[in-house]
Amino acid sequence: MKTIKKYFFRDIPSAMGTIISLGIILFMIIGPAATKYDPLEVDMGAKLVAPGASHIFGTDEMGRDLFSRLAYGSWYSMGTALAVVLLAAAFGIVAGGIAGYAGGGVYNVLMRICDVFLSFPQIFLAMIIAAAIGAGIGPTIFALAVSWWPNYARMVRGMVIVIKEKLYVESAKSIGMHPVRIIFRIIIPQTMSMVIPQITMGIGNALIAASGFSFIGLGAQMPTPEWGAMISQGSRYVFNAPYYVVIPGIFIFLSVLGFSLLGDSLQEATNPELKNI
Amino acid sequence: MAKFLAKRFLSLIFVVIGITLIVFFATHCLPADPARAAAGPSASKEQVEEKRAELGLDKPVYEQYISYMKGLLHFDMGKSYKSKQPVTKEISTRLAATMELTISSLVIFFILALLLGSIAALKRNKLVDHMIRFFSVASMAVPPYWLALILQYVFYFKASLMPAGYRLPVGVAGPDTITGFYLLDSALQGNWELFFLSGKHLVLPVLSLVIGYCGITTRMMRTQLLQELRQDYIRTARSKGLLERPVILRHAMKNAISPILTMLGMQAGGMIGGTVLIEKIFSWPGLGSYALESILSMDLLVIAGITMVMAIIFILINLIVDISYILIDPRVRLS
Repeated sequence: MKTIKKYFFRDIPSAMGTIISLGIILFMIIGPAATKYDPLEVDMGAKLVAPGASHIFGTDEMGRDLFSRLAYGSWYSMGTALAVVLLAAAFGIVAGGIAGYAGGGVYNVLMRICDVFLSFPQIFLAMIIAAAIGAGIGPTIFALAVSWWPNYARMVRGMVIVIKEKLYVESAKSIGMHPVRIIFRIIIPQTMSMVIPQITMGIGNALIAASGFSFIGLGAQMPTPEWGAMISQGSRYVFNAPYYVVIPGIFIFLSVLGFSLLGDSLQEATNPELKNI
Repeated sequence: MAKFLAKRFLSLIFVVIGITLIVFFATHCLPADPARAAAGPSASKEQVEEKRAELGLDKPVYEQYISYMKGLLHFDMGKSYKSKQPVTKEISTRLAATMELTISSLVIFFILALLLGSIAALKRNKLVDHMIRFFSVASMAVPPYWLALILQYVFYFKASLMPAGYRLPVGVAGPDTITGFYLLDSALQGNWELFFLSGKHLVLPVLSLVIGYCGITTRMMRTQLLQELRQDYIRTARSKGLLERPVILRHAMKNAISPILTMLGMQAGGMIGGTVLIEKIFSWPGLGSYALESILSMDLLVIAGITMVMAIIFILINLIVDISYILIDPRVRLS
């Protein structure tokens, strides 16, 4: 109980983060079961129906039920965000771990590569990649992960440099443990206290970036019910059906809010010295 | 200082080479065919091949890269496949629009973040502090493009207070070009009507960018100032009887600002990227919307050129930040 309180219910923002995140996860699970409408089912007789009794969030320009689309779409949107962050983190951890442990030339080369990736606005890099391999959810995940891994690599590198001087790493070396095993079995698990809160916070940023991609037409394509694609489509009808833009946006807002507050809370619980940053 | 600048300049060259490599090879390993896109959908196979030879796309990638780099030394970025105009010309006609948007946003964003962050720190745990903290968390969670749509709906459609987009109303000519910034140019020429008109067109796009990005900096300013206020030198200043206002403004604030400046440099990158979406929504005739257009029409050299220009602007902003950091903080100067 105490641990749960420490990690998830530290104060009001942390409790809010936990509750909102749980709410979003619940919506993902229960939402699709709670609706009788198919997210792709066209009903030309019910075009742009405002939210009401028959369609609680209204319908889109093809008469598709927005609640159903949001519920099924949550898997696309949240799935994309999670995949981006996990992929970027995995790659960043490996690169940062190796650079930090090896030092010297390997370190310099890997970190200069990071510099290049970090020195131009990430959306442009992602746009180029999306242009190169085509639009869609897969390319979006790849493009964002490629432009995000340096953030994780830098953070992990910094930690590894400190950890590798510790006595237990020395003793692992002295019993002849292989460097690869030292990095992955001993050092990297130590960095997780920093990485996991960052991943949680990153989900929110990834959600904004990925939905933005769909918004400009490089991400998920209609009729896939991804939230950003829905806003993009809805923006054409914003003046007569504002709910079509407003509601998916609120879902994105709440998800980002929930996961960033939760990430903050985990950060404070695991690294109290970083409080308030 | 000279050594620092030289070092920075060297790394700039390194970064530019890195970017050209990434951009060039990413855009040239496309499964999609730019020659076909340039030739048009109805072109025959021969016409496509002719186009390919004309654009130099039939040569090996490394050869194309070398000739591209040679051109770059003379500020030649090739020609747009679509408009046949030099890429540098296409970019320069749109650069000012984007820069006016970005710089206005950065200035307002910086002032706002400093102000809100300081108020929150000075009124710690009071109602206004809670409100500002809530605002900053919320601002980080709002998708800027969604906010832009909502602002457009409320202030243009519902309240008719603001224009829907563009830099000026359709049919109104811009001021004579001095800097390309409409606000600055119209003020320099004393054309105040145009000044207010272009200012009005800036409000919504700037607001979307500022609100979307100022949360994290506000939060950091609050933390920094709180930390500084706890330091010994503040106690010394207070105990020697200085008034509260100079203690905060001249001592604590000055020291709290340096890390915020670094943050500002990093934020600038996000903001430059954010203009792509915001420009699209407000039909802003800048580089962001042009980048999007070129991506969709596979205009490779334009994409490469814009990315490069954006990266250089981003690096220059960070350089300015570093220099002002040195000017503000003597400790950095000595080390």
